Amino acid sequence: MQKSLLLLALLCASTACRSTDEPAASPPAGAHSAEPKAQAVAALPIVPAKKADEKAAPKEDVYLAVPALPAAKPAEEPKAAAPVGTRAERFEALQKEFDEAMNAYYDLFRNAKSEAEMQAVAKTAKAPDTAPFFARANALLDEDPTDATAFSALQWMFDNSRDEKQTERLCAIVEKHHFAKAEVAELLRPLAYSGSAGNQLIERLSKESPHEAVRGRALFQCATSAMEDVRFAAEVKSMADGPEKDSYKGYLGEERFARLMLLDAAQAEKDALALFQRVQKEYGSVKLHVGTPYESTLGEQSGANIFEIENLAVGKTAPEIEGEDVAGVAFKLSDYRGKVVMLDFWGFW
Amino acid sequence: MIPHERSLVEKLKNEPFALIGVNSDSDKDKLVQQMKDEGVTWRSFWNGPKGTSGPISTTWNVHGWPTLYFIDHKGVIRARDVRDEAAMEKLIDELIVEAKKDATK
Repeated sequence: MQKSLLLLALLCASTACRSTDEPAASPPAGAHSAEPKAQAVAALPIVPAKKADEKAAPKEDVYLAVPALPAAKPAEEPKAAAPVGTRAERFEALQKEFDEAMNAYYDLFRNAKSEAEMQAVAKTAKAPDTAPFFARANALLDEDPTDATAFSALQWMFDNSRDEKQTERLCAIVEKHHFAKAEVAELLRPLAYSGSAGNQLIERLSKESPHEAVRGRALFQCATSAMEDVRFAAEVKSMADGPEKDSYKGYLGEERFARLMLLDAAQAEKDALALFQRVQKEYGSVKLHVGTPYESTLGEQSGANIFEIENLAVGKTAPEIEGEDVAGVAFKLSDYRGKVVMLDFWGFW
Repeated sequence: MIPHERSLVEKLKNEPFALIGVNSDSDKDKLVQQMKDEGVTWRSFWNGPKGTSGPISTTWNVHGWPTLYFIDHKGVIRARDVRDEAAMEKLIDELIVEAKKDATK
């Protein structure tokens, strides 16, 4: 699925915008990083990369952008024809039809040949009505909130719904029926973007889950969220009022946005550092993404974040980079001492 | 991103400024060709065949692309992820003024 780290993001024409994060975690509907293709078009929906692009991407969990889905109406259950097939089949069909509907809509933007064309599409194109899809997923959850299909439906809804009432209900179902499962770890990231209900649940998981890996990953998520708060707050505070700021509010949710505006960044960073250090000490050996090229441990991941807080913050001397340019010529970042350097982590992909 | 960077590099070519990339494309041959096609003339470290999991982005804990750091002439990180083009130019201009002031001391 798609997500985006910071902003309203449109597919970048040449520099693909993407964010990789915790590959095993499900992305929230509106979290994580990307770059606006054009700031002037904040009113446009964020068009996710096509599946094929994602496959070609270097990390399994690479996102280009977040779909700006219209808020789903809380389950009004526009009851369709009687359900056909097993629960798993019904869920699969729902997902497929949803993807088709969204892709048809996004294709209008993907196929636009110019900025003007895109703006024109934005004026005329109608986003698919997502309510019936959510109603179908909700029906699956109502029938049986406990089985594997219910879990998949929960995950899917977290990924696609930005409706706060909806996510509160999802959090309650997770807490009641899936709390003690090991796979609940896959929901940590979307939970972090699900308001206070989600974050309280993460905290409870970090203390009370019967699985060491879930407790560790939940604590790691707390630390990651604290760090993200620092970053988001800096961005939000530097933004002038306007559509860009409004979209930001949409992605982060009113509640988090309001909290970020008042955030004591220095304190939040200290808290995050302490949390990462705790994860490293208590859960350092917990493995992540086992059997994938991204296999690592919570210790390594925490170490990277601790390094970032201690060495890569504003005011610190940039760590040395020694490497080769694309022609194979060795050089160092410090070769450019005396000049202002804009260091850009980028790629075409 | 790239068109703006191109104009930035052109505009500031006589100033104490360098745009340095850390490129995370895993296929170097394709990368070199694409840089040619897109007019990417500025220098980039290559993050190696592991792409986004390469050593430089791993050390710098980069999980979102593009990630930007603004480093002053003394090597101090002064800002991160300023993506708004106007804000970015203003910041760079201010840092250039500082660099020049120190250079004439």
